[in-house]
Amino acid sequence: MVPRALSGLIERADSVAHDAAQFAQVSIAARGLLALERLLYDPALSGYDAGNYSCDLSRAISADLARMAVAVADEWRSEFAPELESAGGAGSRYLDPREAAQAIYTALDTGLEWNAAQRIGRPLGSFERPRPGRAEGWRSDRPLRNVTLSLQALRDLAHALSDAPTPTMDAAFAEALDVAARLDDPAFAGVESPSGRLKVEILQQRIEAIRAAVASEIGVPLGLSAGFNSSDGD
Amino acid sequence: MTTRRGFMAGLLAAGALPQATWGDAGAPVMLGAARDSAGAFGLAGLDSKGRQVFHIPLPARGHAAAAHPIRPEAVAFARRPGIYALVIDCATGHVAHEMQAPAGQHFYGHGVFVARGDILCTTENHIDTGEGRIGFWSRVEGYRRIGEMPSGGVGPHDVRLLACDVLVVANGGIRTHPDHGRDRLNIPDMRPNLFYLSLRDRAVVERVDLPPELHLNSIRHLAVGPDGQVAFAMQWQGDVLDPVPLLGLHRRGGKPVLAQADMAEQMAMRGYAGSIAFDGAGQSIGITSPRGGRLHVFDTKGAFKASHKRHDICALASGRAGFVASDGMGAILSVTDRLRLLTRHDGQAWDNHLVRL
Repeated sequence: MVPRALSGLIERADSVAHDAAQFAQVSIAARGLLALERLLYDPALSGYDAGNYSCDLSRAISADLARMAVAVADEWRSEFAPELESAGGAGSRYLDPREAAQAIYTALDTGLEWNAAQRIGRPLGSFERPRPGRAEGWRSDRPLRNVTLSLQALRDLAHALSDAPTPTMDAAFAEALDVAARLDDPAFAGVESPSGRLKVEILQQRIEAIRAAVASEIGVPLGLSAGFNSSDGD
Repeated sequence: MTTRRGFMAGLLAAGALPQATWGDAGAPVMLGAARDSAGAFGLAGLDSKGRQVFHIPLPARGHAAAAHPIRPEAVAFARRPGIYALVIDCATGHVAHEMQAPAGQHFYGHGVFVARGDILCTTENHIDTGEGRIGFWSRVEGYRRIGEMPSGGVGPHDVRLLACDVLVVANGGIRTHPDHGRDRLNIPDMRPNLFYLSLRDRAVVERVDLPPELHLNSIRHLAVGPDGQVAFAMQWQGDVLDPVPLLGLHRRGGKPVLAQADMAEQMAMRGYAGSIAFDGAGQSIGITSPRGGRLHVFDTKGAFKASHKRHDICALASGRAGFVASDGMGAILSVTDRLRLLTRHDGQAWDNHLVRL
């Protein structure tokens, strides 16, 4: 999906890369970090010189990412944060403060689940068929670093949500981050050997342990839980 | 299997007893199941404002209910792979019958009344062969089992009635075995399909398959439009990051149209559509993804119209205008050009489906 979208732009030397406003309308497959990673680290796409079209395209993607980051931060400050704080008020998307807390709680639990099931689960694949090529950002050695940064951010989010002491959760975060720090496999390439696989699985289990601690030390006291329908469908 | 004659006799038998109507159960316009804050499950009748007109405890979490077209009677199915279904008298709140799946078979969670409510059809699994079945039950004979037909595929989930006594079945393609709970036993080989069965001559009318590259897209839930258009909602069993279509539209004799939103919205659905309905005017189709916290609306040609965001939104039914939806936080919502709260039932986590009466 990403390489096809990029190749299309490159083959046409599409002028959209020279117009920031137009570039914002390009398919998301040709934008974002995964597209940029291809242009910087995929040998099939990264062999270009300064000043040629692929170089311009890399700059366009970078500028587009910066534009979106600023827009998200602005919207967060000017719209979303006030909406969370005024939950229950007229026109608010949250009917009461508990729904606002539920939204944060869902972001927390979904973020932890995404790390365990997707960032780690996708490269793990199955024992018979590990899929290291499915690790997020493996070309640029990002997989483990992305998990670590996400866990640190989620730990801060968890503390922002609850004023009560959370000793079990704190220990679970510390344990998972410690396992991550000692895991000498930045791209999860080890999933192809039984022993390497076990190490990555241990990190996955430590993250699941955080989810359990979050549920008991934050979810239960605040009356929040993972989505009734989202967590168990049919 | 029963004889053809016995089956037809059951199909044509008329209810002779003087009986109550939905008015005797408080005149609900829809049914929904929920878990309350104490963890107990129940079936509720709701009016057009989302207010509860009755509430009946259920012994366990259900999946969907089949509502009788006239009588205040609902059949609540256990979640798959369940072997029982409860016939509930919604006027008295009592369990009128307990239906047991035939030996060696289990229910898949949906059913529909046909023949003006005299016959109940249920989706079932023949456990040893994994073959899907449609079971027939005679309501007028106290929900006696009167026959069955192959569903035309594996894992039939939802079933609906079209005009001319034709059933449409969503064969989800996923084989399960009660010994393995809800584990999916055949993902690499799954072949979901949409199957049309004539009740009159018990014959296959039409079968619709997905393109080979979408064979992991389990066809699960159905909605029927006012002119017989069938809309089907799918659940992708492949990579959660694949932006595959989750809505299909089909007219008898035609090719299926697969519909999707732009890529970012499509990926946000997380490969999962939990519920589907036409809007009150029959002009739009909605699918919900509780995992993505989204309701996507399309027109009847499959063009994407709108995305509404709401955490844990799932159950969806047609409303007088637009749709009615519910979520896991107790809200019953009206959906037109935006989401609007009708009623909130504190502590009630509304389940997968709302059944329109």
